[in-house]
Amino acid sequence: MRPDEAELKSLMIAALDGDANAYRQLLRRLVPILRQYLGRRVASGQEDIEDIVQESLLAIDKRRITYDRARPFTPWVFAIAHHKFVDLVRRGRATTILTEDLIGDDGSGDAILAGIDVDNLLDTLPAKQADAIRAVKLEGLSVAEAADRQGIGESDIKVSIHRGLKSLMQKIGRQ
Amino acid sequence: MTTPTENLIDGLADRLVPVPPRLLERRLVLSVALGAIVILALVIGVVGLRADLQSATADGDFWVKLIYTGFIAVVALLGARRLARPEVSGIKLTGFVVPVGLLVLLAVFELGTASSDQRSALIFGSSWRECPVLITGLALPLLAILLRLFGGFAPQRPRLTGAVIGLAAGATTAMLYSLHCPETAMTFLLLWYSAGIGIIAALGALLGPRFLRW
Repeated sequence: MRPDEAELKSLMIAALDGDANAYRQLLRRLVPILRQYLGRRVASGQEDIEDIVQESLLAIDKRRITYDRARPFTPWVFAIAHHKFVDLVRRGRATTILTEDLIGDDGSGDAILAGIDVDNLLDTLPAKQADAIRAVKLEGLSVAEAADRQGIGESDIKVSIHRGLKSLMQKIGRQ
Repeated sequence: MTTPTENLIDGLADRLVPVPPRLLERRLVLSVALGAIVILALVIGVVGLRADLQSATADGDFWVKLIYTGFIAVVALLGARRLARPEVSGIKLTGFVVPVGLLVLLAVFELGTASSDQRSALIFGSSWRECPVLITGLALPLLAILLRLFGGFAPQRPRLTGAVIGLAAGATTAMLYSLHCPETAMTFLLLWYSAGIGIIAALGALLGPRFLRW
């Protein structure tokens, strides 16, 4: 679905002028657009997507003073949704979020860069967490194999991965 | 109309308040005006106007101080206005290079034509210690007002926005401070006014991520 800039913009301007029906219509039209936009970035589930959709709607409402009628509308909306998405990552709520924003679009150059980034980031974690993530998430070992190799329990591995990914997401969110 | 998202939309639409065109700009101008009145009151009431204010208005250096600081204030406010919007990821900084560059030329010329025993007076004047401290202190209320205002906007870059807000607050304050300051040297202006403005900009950059989150 491609958002219809002209139509959405005229609804927004009517809403800014106080037309509640235009506003309701605008927000309803934005919901599927936001779901699609966020669906491409958030892989952690429908609930998280709906959460950010709602947060985005709230921010669109609260910060509508920052929309300049002379400028395009959809980039403004997507900027707000993106900000809310990054905010969610930063708060570390959705530790399983996978995203083109974090890993880069496809293409080997990006993949290599992403690899370098991941290594650098992993180096900032405690060794136990970094090793657990490397073994399971990068080398593809099972949790049991990783536990054997590091000589610790399976639940220890799981917790290390969880904590490590969580603080990684926070670090990435801050950048 | 029963999902939470739909309920939310109904709630938001029901309590819609109109937003007239240029409301953001009006709030920004009003906030700066309010801060400037507070600072002016402090300059007149606490710090004191320079005794020779009336005759000083005939001197070029009086106006250079006002133009230098006013130029920076205007460029910073225009930048801050842009950075208030979520889709803006940066601003051009060339606007700041012009006033600083011109003043550097004036200061170099001034130092170059002065005899070596005059140079220290051009650099330090009689108030180099108090100048940046007073500008910083006087600017705090305006910085607070602007941080609060921009906390209601949607800046994508809190640190940069904080720094630019700080530049606006510092430069506006320095403009009003020049009504107190009896210094006449371009070199003094370049060094110590800029230092005061820079301290407030640094403070803004420091506080931005805290106060401009949304």
